[in-house]
Amino acid sequence: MTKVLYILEKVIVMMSSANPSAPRSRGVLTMTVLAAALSAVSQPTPKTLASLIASGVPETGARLLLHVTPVLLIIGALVFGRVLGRGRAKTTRWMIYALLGAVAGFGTAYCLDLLIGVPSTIAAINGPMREPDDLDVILWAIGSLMMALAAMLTAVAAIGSPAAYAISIEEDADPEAYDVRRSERRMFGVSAAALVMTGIAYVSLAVARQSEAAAVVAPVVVASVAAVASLALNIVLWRALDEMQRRTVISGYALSAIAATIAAFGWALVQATGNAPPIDGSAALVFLSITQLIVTSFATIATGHAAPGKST
Amino acid sequence: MKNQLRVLRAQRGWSQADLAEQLKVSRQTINALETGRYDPSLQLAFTIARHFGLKIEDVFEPDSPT
Repeated sequence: MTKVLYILEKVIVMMSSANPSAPRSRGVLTMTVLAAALSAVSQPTPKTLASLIASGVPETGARLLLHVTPVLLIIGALVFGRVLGRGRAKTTRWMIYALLGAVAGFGTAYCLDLLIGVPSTIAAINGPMREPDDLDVILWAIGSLMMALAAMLTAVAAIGSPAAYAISIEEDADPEAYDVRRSERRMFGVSAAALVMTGIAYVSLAVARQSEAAAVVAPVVVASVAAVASLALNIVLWRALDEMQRRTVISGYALSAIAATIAAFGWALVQATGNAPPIDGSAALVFLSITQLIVTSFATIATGHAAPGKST
Repeated sequence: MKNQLRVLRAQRGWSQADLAEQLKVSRQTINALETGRYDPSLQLAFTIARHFGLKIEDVFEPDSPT
C-alpha cells in the first residue's frame, strides 16, 4: 500500500493549488465529462426508479432524472467546494471536498447502479454471482476508485503536464506543480500499474465472495496474482522515492497503525458487550484500507509535503 | 530549521523542478525544504550545500532555542 500515499500526494499536488497568476485548471470540465460517461454506462437503481414512478413521475422522465442528477451532484460538489474553500487552508479545503464528494457519491449510488455491465460480464465468464452485500459493495467501490485513479495517472504518465491541468479541480494552477518531467512520468506509470493491480485484487476478492463455491478458485487466483504484482510494483516505487517521500509514507502508515489499533480496541470492547458482530477477513481488509486512505491522505495534506500553493 | 534554498535557487534562475532534477530528489522535496516543512538528512543537507559551492551553515541555520 506504499503507493496509496505516494499517489495521493501526487494527485493532491495536481488537484490543488492557489496561484493567482497561473493558468486555469480544467478539472471541473474533465470530471463533468467523466461523470456523464459514468452515468451513460450505468442503470437507474430499480428501487429508486420504482419509488419515483409510484409517486407519479412518468417512467421516461424518472429514468432521465436518475441519469442527470448524479452529474449535477458531482458538478455541484466541485463548484460548491471551490466556493466554500476559497481562501481557506489546504487541509480545510480538502475536508470540504471530501464531505461534498461523499454527499455526491451517496446521491449517485441512490440514483444509479454504476458500471452495470461489469458484474454481468464477469458472471457470464465465471458463473452466476449472488447479490452483493454491504462489504462487497465497499470492495467494488475501493477497487473501482483505485482503477479510476490509475486512469488519471496513466494520462499524466502518457502526456504529462496537459493531463495534470486536466485533472486539477481547483481554480488556479501553480505551473511548477504541473511541470511533470520525464523521470516523474515513469513514476506515474508505475504508480498507475500498481493501482490497477490493487484494484483488480479488490474486485476479484468481491467476485470470489459473491461466486458459488465451485467458481471461487478463478477469482481467488486472479486476486492473488494481482496482489503479488501490486506488491512487486510497490517495491519498485519505494526504491524510486526520495528521503522525504519515504519519511512521509512511514509517518502516514505509523499514524494509520495507531488509528487502526485504537479503532480495533474500541470494536473489541463493543463486541464484548454483544453490540457488534465479529470482523471477518474481508471486513478487516476494508477497515484497514479505509483507515490507511483517510489517515495517510490527511497526513500528506496536513504536513504540507505536497503544497504547490506555497511554491514560487 | 531555516534555509536559504529559495534565495540561492532564485539567484541562479532555477525552477524547483530544475533543482530537484540536479539533486535527484522530487520537486515536492524542494518545495517542502523551501517552505520549512521538511528538515533534510545530513547527507542531503551536505549534498545541497556542495551543489551551491557553499558550507552547510551558509545554507541551513538551526532554529534558535526558545
